[in-house]
Amino acid sequence: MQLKHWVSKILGYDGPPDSKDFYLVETDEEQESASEDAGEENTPSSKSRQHKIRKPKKTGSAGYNNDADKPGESSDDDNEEQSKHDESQREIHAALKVNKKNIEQLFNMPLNKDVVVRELTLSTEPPVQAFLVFMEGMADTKLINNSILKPLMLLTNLDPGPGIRPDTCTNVLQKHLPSNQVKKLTLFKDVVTQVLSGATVIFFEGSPCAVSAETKGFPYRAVDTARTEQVVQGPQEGFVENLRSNTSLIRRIIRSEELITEYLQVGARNNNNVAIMYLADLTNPDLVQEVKRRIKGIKTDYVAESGVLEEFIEDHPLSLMPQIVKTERPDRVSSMLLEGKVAIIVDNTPFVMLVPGLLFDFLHSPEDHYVRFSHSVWLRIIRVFAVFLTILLPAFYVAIATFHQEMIPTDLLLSIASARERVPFPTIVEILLMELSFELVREAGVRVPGIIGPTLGIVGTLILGQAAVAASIVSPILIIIVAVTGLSSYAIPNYAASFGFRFMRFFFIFLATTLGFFGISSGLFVLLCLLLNMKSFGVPYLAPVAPKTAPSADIIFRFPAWQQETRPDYQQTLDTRRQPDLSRVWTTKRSKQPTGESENKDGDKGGNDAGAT
Amino acid sequence: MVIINQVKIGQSEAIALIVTVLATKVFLTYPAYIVSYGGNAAWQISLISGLVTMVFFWFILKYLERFPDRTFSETAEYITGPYLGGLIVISVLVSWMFEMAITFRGFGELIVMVALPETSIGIIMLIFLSGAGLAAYLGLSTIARACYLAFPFTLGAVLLILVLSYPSWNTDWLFPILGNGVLETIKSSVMRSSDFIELNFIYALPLVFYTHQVKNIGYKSIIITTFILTMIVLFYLLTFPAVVGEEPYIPLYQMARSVYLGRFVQRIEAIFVFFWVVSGYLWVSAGVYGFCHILTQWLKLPDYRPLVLPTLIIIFAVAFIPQSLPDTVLIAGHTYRKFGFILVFGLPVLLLLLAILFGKGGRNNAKG
Repeated sequence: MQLKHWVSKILGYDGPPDSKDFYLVETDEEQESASEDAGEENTPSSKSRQHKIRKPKKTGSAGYNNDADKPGESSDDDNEEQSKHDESQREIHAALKVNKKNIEQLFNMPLNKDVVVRELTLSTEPPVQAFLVFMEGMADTKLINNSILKPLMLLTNLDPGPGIRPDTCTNVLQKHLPSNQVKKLTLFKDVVTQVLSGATVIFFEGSPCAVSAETKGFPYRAVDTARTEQVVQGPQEGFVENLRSNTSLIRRIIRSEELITEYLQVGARNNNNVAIMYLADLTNPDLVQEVKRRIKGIKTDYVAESGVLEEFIEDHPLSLMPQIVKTERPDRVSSMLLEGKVAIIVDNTPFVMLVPGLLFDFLHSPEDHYVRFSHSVWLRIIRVFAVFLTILLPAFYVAIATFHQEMIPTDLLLSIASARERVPFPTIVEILLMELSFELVREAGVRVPGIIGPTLGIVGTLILGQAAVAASIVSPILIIIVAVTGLSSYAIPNYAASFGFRFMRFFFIFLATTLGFFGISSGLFVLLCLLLNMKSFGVPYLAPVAPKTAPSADIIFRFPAWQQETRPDYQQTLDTRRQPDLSRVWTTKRSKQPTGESENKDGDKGGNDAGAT
Repeated sequence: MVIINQVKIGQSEAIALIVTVLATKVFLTYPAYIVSYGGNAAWQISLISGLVTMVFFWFILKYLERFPDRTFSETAEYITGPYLGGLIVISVLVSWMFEMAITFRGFGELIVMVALPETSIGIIMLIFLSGAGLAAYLGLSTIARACYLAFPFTLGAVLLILVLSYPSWNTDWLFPILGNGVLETIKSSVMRSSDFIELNFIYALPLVFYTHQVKNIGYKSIIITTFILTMIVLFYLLTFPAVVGEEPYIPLYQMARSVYLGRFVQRIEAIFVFFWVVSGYLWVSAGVYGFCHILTQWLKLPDYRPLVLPTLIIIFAVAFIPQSLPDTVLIAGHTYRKFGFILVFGLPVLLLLLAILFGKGGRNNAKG
């Protein structure tokens, strides 16, 4: 039966694959006007296939497939888990004892020592019994003492009103709880979520609801300098693990009421918070919807970090090239939000993701915008050059040394030949030895403790290379090739892209060894086609070059800031203009001498109006 | 049944695609052949054949305007009935396959001669076909975008060869300016409009282009290609005298080999292998895609991709029918390149005449 299935699968044709593709499409008007722009290919070639999820044999309360379990087959444990799940779905009871029992069951008390239940009596007349629940370590105990326990136990008697009333919750949160964020809860499910995120939840006798007060107080790292994306000029701050700190870092840069932060949760067991940030009046709503759809469509139990989420939501997870920009710099996130991208921030991760991520985004560094225009052009050219060197330099050397010796001028050929005279290995062995050594040094350099790191680098690069040449294992020219390739790979600003390009060079080395320049050109053609076929969140990966869209002022060459009038066309933003054609109004006679604050405001308004037109 | 992959490509990419498939032949024997026909006036043949092609394209345009929203097979069957229409589609497919196989073989031979003289041609062609097959599988928009990206680099490389060969230029080799005589030149020019037969891409796959852009795409492609071909033949004639120039199998490679700019820059031809190979890949992948696309539309299949692999196997087999490189060149040059235009450009003209005769198309074009 299995054989028949595979034979029919290999030889047969089941029609187009069942997939849901997302395209960030242009409006009809845009398609008409931009004649150069290619229509989106409606082939299901995009890899965003709907994967079938196998039913887990056993799912717990935090599982996502409970109702798939067949009755009668589940064990006692399953029953217990099932009952806990039902418990969490239940509404809060008016009787305090019932609620307390439910809470103890939900949080596995007394086994779980982190959960604290504190019983208290409100000093109202007549006194009201209550209890509060919080998670030790996640909540700030001082805050609970001062802002919850003290007012409730000591100050509630100031209010002469009756104690037990159906609206105790409203009464307490309006009059007695000096906390800045309070919520009325009616479901145990919400109680669990709140307690797990560090809030304190208070239950009252006779009240079918509970009050949650914000008391988060867990340890986290303070804002520090960016470690992997350093710049010479520009802000030095980097993101940290705490989600709220990260959103505030971005909000501090973009002070706009249109900057929206939405929260989602992923991971059925770790319930990790994911924030989505975008500018409501700028970002294409379809893109925001698609991001939310993908994140909500994840069925897994544990999403620890942005890298894991990235694998779940990207279009081509098997590709060597990343399709989501990851950065630890708030300034980069802000500038990309203003281009119309969507930021995805995962709690406990100091790296923020931005979608869509296109090839040219990975060649840009935030510093390009902070240095002078001419310098940034040069930096970009160097980077593109570095990409080609990383992929092709070793392969070129192998191809020339193996197949196309005639390409090398005679004098150089003689000097290379004399250097290689004592080397007993063929070129491919030589280059693989050195490339693998380089990768070893790189990997070891990352893993060893910080103090030894630089020493290891020196040992690896200088001593190993020198010794290899002295021992006639490799030729000196090869050391130069490998060193330049290594340097080039580190000139690529994005870590994931740099890794992708470095990995590709091994394919090209093998192609060059077997087929020389023909192999390299075949590899380049296939790479080009695969890149052209890729999409990131509905945008072609090589946009705006292929397909050609409206000219952009920031692809390989960055135009001066005052010439970057429009946002990238491929983002299909709601507001396409950054600034009016004449952004430096002071260069004209129309500009007036500013006389005061009101004058400035007028100027700003004028600028905005012009931008909108 | 849902017909998927109704691809549309924009103007810039379409022009890049058409120019790439039209002009790629300069990497094969094209310049030498033209020189053998026209002698010192060979560049005039390239120029006039372009003009002749424009006239043919006018007919193609009229034909396309008459049937704006129909595929080629639908039009053929609509005008001549299902049996005769089917025969017309088959004739296009057979000639398409023949052209593809012969040119593909030419590319394989070129790579053996230029880059890998000791490697078996079978292996080279297998790899070549795999790459082209992958591109065809990924779709026309991928191929067209690849053409758009590769075109400036390829053109730059060719221009570099032309410019760097300037120490060998001798204007005497352009004279006598009329070559073998005006009549002979014009006759050859009409025949050599067969060099533009890849224009059948436009009428055989009409729906991949935006209808209002077809005119621009066609004329601009012909003008750009004519300019490129004429310039190459002109510079080729400046570098080699006509008698010598008609001999090499790979004239442009010969030209690249003649580059000598001091001791250091003298053997740069290997670099150009990149551009030749990529152009070859684009040519073959566009051909494979076109073939599968026409077949898919004719047989009314939902998807072209299952046809890619069988097509590749057939091309591979047909490409090995000629015994050797000279055989390939002879078959391509003496038969197909001489009279191919009659079939390729004659077909839309014939269909147009029949449509006018039977009063089909135009206002009566509504699909029934």
